[in-house]
Amino acid sequence: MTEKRNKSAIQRRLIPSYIFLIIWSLFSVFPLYWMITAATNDTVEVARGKIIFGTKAVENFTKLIHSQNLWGAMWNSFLYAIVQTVICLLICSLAGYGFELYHDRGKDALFGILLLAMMVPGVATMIPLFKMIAGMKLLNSVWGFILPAIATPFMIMMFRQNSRNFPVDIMEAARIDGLNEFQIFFRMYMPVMKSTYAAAAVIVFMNAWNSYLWPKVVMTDTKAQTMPMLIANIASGYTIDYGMMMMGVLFCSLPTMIIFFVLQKQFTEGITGSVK
Amino acid sequence: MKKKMMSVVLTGAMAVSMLASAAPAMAAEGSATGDHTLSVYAWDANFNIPALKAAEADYKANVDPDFVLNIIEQSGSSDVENAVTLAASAGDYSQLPDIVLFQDHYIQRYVNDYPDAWVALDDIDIDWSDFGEEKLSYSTIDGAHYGVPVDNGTAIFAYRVDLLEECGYTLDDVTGISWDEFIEIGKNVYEKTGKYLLSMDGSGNDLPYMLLQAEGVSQFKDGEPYITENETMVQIITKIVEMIQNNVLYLGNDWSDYTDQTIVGDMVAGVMNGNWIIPTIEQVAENSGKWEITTLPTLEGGGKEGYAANGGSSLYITGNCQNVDLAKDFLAKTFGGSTETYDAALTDGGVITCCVSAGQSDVYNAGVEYFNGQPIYATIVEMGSHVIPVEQNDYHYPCRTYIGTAIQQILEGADVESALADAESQLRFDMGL
Repeated sequence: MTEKRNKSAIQRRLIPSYIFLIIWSLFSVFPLYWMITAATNDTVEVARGKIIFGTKAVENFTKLIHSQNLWGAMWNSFLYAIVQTVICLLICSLAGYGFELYHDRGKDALFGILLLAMMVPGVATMIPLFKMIAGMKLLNSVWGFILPAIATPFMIMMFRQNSRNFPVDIMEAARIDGLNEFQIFFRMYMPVMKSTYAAAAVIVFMNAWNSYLWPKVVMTDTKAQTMPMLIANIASGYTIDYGMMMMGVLFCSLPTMIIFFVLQKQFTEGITGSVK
Repeated sequence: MKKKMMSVVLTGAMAVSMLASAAPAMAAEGSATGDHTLSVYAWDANFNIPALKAAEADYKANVDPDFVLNIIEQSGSSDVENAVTLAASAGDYSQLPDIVLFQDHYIQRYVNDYPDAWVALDDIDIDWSDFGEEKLSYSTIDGAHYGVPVDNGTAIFAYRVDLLEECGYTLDDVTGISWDEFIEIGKNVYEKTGKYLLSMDGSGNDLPYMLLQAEGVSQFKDGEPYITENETMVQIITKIVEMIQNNVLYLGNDWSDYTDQTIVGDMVAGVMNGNWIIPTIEQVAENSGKWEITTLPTLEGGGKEGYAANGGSSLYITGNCQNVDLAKDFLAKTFGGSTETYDAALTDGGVITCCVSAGQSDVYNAGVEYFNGQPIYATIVEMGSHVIPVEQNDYHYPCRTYIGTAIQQILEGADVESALADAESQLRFDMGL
């Protein structure tokens, strides 16, 4: 009886938190809802603040694919984001693994220098990087897009931090069983650190997918443009077609939303650094 | 085991390289000599880009059947400016296209800062006297022509004639009037219809510039700000403030507020801006046939009509162009005065020429249903020829910002002189004076 009363008292105490969280969720979800409804209305309806579903979805979609190279931009965005995610994860996890599990003073100092690199703002390196990439004839190519983001101090740090939870004993056991260091990495470390990889994949993919400034600099040809560049093109000009633009934004947001929802559980595990 | 692992790594690497090689690996660099291709940076898929496509089709049909214009779409005029700045900062123009579309108000600064980035068009086969003098004043630097005009920034004053009629006025009653008369009409219109007679973007207020130009006066004199000692400027700012205080003029918070709320949202009975504002007005299908255009009021009135221009862009050949002769020929035979190019540019993109002879075609003289059958395009080209060139300056936009802020300060209670003095001193500081 007392237990029941205690329980209901706890529930009552939680009511304000729930109300707060519900209001907060509404604020978070409303822009997404608006984006979806706007994609089904025409520009005058959007400008006049209509926030219920309309009937212009097909029209907006048809205008979008006729006026913009939607499929080309989607393909480019997928290509750049997937290649960047795969390579970045491989390099950063190898580096994080090395820094944590084979660490000595020299490596710690090197890691410090890497962290310092995080403090340099991206725009400061923009012009030298552009010169390098242009010099290597890599403009408008996937390598021009991914090279500057192939190994980021943040990702290396994330893998290093999470590697602290990696059970070192199994490395010894694996060595006794005859595995070499690379085999230990690929066959022991990678499966154990699955959730860290998932979290890192979500972060790298989203960053690559949403990246705008760097592709704007190196992707000088229309055929190499990405989804965010396409959206920016629609959003320019003297007259903006809001319905069509929001349809484009919807297409641009879907992949990141799907990836986040699919990997949500692993993402939270990976961010908190848990190892199974 | 080692072999197996190596094969996994190698397969992965192969897959990645295959994906990478499938990626488009084209460059935007200028075309090679003897080629039939030119590349161009432009923005606005509904405005400038259809005009360029019209020019490409014209040149292909009438001059060179193998000609290709590679239009590289940018998200705005600032992208083109950034691309030139980036190329100049990196000391490498090789990544620029052959031609760029460039905003008029900025070009003088860019030609002065980066002279190597541009090609002068002195020997181009274009009759410059066929173009509005004001438009050419932007792209003519130290007497040399650098750009070929594309669009026409001539300001129009569009009125909802149905609402004016409701209040007992006709279009003639608002043509050639003074700003004082305009304010009186505006008060009546607001009282009877609840609509403002004019609106503007408060954060990018173009009114002072256009109103000044209609008087033939600039915000700059001999390269320095001309604000506090400029009697016309003081009068204009006073009139603008009076309009706001009497519900004749509504200042939106930003550009979107101005276009979406006041124009598309049907809050106004009048719109005054560069003629590129027309497609925004036309978005509201239910108001078709209710609008007509005329000239701007002036301080003096009494039949004196005001002419001004706002915005616009021109095409410039870059220093990276490997085939300057082709680029010059293309520009001369299309935007240099071809009726075919300009007719199609108007029909497909709503781009209005500032080439006087091209503006006399049948397409230009046709009545426009949305504007009550008025031949607005021919009217605009004709109006454009009356715009008085005024002194331009690289600091056009900072000046616009400071004067816009001064207007807000006056509305909050500051006196006109001190608010304008603040604006002038900030602008002088920016200009390093």
